[in-house]
Amino acid sequence: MRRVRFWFFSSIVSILMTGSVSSDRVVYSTIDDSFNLTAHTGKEFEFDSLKGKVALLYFGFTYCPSICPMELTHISQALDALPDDKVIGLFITVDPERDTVQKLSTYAPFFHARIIGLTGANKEIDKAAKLFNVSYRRIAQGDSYTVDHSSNIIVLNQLGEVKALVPFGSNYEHLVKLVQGVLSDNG
Amino acid sequence: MRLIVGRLSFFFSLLWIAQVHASGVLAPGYGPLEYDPPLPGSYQLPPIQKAADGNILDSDGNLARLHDLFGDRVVLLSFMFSSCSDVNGCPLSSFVFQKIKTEIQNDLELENGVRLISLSFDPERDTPDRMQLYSNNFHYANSRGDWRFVTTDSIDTLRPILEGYGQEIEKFIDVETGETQDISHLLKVYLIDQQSMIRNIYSVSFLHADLLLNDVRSLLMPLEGQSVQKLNSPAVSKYSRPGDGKDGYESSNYETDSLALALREGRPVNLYNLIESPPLGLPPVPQPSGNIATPKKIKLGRKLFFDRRLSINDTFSCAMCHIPDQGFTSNEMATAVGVEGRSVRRNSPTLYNIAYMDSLFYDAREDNLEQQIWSPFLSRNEMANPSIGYLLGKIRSFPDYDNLFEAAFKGRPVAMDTLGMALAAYQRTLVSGNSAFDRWHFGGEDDVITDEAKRGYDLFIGRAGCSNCHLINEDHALFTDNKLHNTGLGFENSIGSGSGPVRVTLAPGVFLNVDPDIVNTVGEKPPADLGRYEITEDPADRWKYRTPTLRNIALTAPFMHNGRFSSLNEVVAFYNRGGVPHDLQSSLIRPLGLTVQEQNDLVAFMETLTGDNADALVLDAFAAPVGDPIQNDGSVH
Repeated sequence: MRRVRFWFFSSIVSILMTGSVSSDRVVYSTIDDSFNLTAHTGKEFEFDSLKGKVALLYFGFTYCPSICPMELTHISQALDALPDDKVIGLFITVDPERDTVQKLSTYAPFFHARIIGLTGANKEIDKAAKLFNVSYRRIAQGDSYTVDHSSNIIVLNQLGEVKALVPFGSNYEHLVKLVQGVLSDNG
Repeated sequence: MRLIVGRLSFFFSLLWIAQVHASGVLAPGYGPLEYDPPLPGSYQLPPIQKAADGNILDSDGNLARLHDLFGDRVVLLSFMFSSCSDVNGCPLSSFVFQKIKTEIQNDLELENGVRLISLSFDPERDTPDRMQLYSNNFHYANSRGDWRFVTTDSIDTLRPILEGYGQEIEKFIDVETGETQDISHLLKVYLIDQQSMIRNIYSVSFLHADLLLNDVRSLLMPLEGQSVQKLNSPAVSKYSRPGDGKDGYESSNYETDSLALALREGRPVNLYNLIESPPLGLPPVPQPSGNIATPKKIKLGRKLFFDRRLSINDTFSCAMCHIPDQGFTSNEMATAVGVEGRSVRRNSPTLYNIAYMDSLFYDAREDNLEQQIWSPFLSRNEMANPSIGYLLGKIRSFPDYDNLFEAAFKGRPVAMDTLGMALAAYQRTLVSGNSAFDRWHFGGEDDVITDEAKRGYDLFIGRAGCSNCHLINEDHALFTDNKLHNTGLGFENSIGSGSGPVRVTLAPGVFLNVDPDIVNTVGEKPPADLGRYEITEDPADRWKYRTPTLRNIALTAPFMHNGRFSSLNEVVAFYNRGGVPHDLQSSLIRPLGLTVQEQNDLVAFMETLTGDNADALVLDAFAAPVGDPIQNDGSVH
């Protein structure tokens, strides 16, 4: 019964959303065209590869002292508890200057094999951030800088739609239940 | 895989600590609380102001009123916006709320009692659809507890809400594109009670899940004396409070709260009237035929009661342990302290309605008020007069007592008996009744006590069995059977308490947990106290103490013969668990199985027992002359 209700509910939402320009409904076909990002493997990232999986998307940067490691740890713990072929993690950097492909290739897999680090040109990162309503800003820190950034985890379902925002600070058990809920929602 | 993650968390927490020290301080809410907060319900959260209302859009896009969203729950309200990027900003309040949400998973009381609300102040970008994504997060995870994400339809609708909560925001707008880049605001989370009153506001330094949960739990326990209903009830005593308020002393934002001397302006009362016609709920005042009170005797007794020269070093009067504005006992000390700081074993009994007690002292060793005076006068650890003659001689030497005894006692001078008779006459006037309970129970008025108190009354005379010893009669109630019983409290003291660490408050908000062995090397060992046995030498009488009256009990904390409990809730909890069972315990004491609500109801009932003339008696006491050794003529300074 619950399954049917959710399906009904989300299809109502989808119907209501069509026709209006809403950045909350993100579909693959539009991403492909709108920005290009490179995965930490060095290859250009194909958003098609996300099809059929739930994606946990997080914007951050490798020099982030606390917030990003915390959330990435939770995401990786959640990934461990969920089926391999159903969930994936995405880490999009807000600091493309320092977070090169090389840097990401040691950072992302350190947390989990199924977390893909993404970087690219400043312009492309900007587009991505705007699409997901993420804001970020460089703050000077002595000789260096840090980047303030929104810290929600963005949950995409198997159809590439943004389904939920997880406010900062949840634990992995919650993420597991959340993903399971999203998975069962779309069969 | 698990192992790597485990090591990973450890590594990153080290990295985090290193980075924090390098780059600056993270808000306290991210880490563990470095002290134990006081027990929920043991402190007050005075209402700050009414929480502002406003028009909001819930995550389904429906228009609603903010107050309707509060419902009848305790609410934690936070302002946020979804693209917030300040690590000590929205992420902090989100983190704290998440921790609270996690706690709710395991706590039915929280689940039903509290609601978390996040209200966006960025209506342009945070549309209901966007807020719904946050709600979805919990929807999909099927998690318990109520966390709402709401927004407004425009800045114009939002503005009055922000003003109502004192939330100012600054928007940083890109000059070229006109887009909002960032919003700056002072992070505040509001604790709102079931009557939409703001009870606490947390800034970054105080935003910690443990503190919020503590406060929420305090609000979910109905606070003593507070009621939702509007009542036509007599005011409780305004002047009965210690001169120096210590509420909140355990928290680091304690502020000194001293009663101004100007407020201690006295107003004499016709005390004789009180003996002649005692208030509703009380029987005629028993008086020995040899000492019927007269206005002259009462006035003399009152003068003696407040005379500090009646102690060996001219410092102690009766009123210094039976403090009128502290319920005619001491609210600040569990057991009394006499001259030169000497410890007394027991709590000072209240003198309210003392006329109705058949015996005096907790071990009932004295028959009447006329004779009782010699115990405190001559005890080395109380007023320490070295002999009867010494005290009488002193009084004879005071010019301000010239002829007063002769006038009151038909020519007889100050002597053992006239001294006692004068003080007894005054004390017998301290009758206090016509409380809210009296008006309800004997007077037939219905809306003077709350529903909680009425439920408490039913328990009092019913399941809880209190009225077995704290009697209520047909046309009056003394709330005592004037008998002695063994609840087990004395037994517990004799056996010795547990060996847990002792918490010592050094300064507001600063504590140390000290090993009891260390405390015992410098502290006084608790004295032996065998109760009635000390009088009768009958082993069966060990640890028996006299039932006190419960009238004006709300004014006479701390409670029990040794001041063991600071609050009525603790007393009720003591009886709820059946006191301290042992062979000699009274068979009337047994575990009661009361719920938290029922215990609160009993407390609510007991708080209706405060007589309506408590303030009048206190103000009369303020007007009494105080014998001053410097002037040596009884004049007041």
